[in-house]
Amino acid sequence: MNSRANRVSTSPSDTRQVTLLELLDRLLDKGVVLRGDITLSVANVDLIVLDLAVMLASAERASHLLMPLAVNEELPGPAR
Amino acid sequence: MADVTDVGGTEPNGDQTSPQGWYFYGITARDDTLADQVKSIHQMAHGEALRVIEAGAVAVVVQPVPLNEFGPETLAARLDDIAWIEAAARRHHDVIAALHQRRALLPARFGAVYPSLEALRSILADMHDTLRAHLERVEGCDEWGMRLYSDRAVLLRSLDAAYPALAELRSELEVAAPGRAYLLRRKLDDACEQAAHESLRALAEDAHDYLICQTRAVQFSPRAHSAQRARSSSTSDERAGGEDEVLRADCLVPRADRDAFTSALEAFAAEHQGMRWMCSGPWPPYSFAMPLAGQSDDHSEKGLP
Repeated sequence: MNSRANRVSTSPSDTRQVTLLELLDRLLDKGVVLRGDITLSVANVDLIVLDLAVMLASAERASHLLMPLAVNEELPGPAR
Repeated sequence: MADVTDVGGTEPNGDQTSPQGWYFYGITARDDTLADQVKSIHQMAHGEALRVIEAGAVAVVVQPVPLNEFGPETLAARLDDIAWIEAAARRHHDVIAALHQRRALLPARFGAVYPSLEALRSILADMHDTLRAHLERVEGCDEWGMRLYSDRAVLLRSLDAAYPALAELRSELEVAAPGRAYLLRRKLDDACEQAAHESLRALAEDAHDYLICQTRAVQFSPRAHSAQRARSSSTSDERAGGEDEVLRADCLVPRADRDAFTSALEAFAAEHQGMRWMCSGPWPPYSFAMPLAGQSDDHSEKGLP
């Protein structure tokens, strides 16, 4: 019932432990990269970025890693 | 010139066999309080002491890590290891969230590692002014992720009023012979789908304009909703739940305007039957650290496609 309610779910800096799914949703493919090219863990370059967004999305990994979590996806946290 | 401040006091691990790299957490302003603040959150990083690298008026927070942890083979294996991903993601977020609570911060991309501090320093020097401008933008703000959903049944019921052609098709269908009815039915389904799509798009634009208008200080991450809209139209699980995602956006909200922001969302949803909203936050400004100069993308100027 309350899954259909409007709500604010507060993140870790407030009260609760954020779920992994929510966290990855927030982290992947975001944030500063200080140099144009994103290189996928090639040695001896200026920057190595774990491009998890690409790697998870491109592999079947995504389904078997994230599906079990997605089942419980409802954003947790206190209803308003 | 840039100099290195070793904040943690511990030397890099002596018996380390792998070459050392530098895990990059974020960029902040350089000031006298930074070193102590970084020291105070050391336990979040679970490893070697965090370091501060300064260049002009900006500074980055990094941590020494063994480079082989981020090599191709190791990584490939680790992407199957949800426990490793979780630990890495939490460490990244915990450090960034703790810094964000204390000062304006541009969070780094998850998993950015530099093989040398020299590379990092020269990039910092090159981008100095851009970085300062971005830091000013996020000062005093949190990121909030928001989503608006619309009930599918309510939306479909509202379509006939806005699209008279649908009502005409329906009345034609009622009197049609079976063969023709089949074709009309398909035509009607297609027309409904098209009308629903247009209607959702218009709703998304209305919501966007309303929120911009009601909360002047709020900035949207434009990339978020243009991309997500495309995704939502093909997301069958939203449909299965009887809802369409109208708008998904990341918003940069000044802390003082947090209540105004949620009130505006509430008000917009209340004006539209069958609409509900969710928002998640406060987060560090993950979606507002990009694009930096030279990294602009095609969607960055226009909020909606």
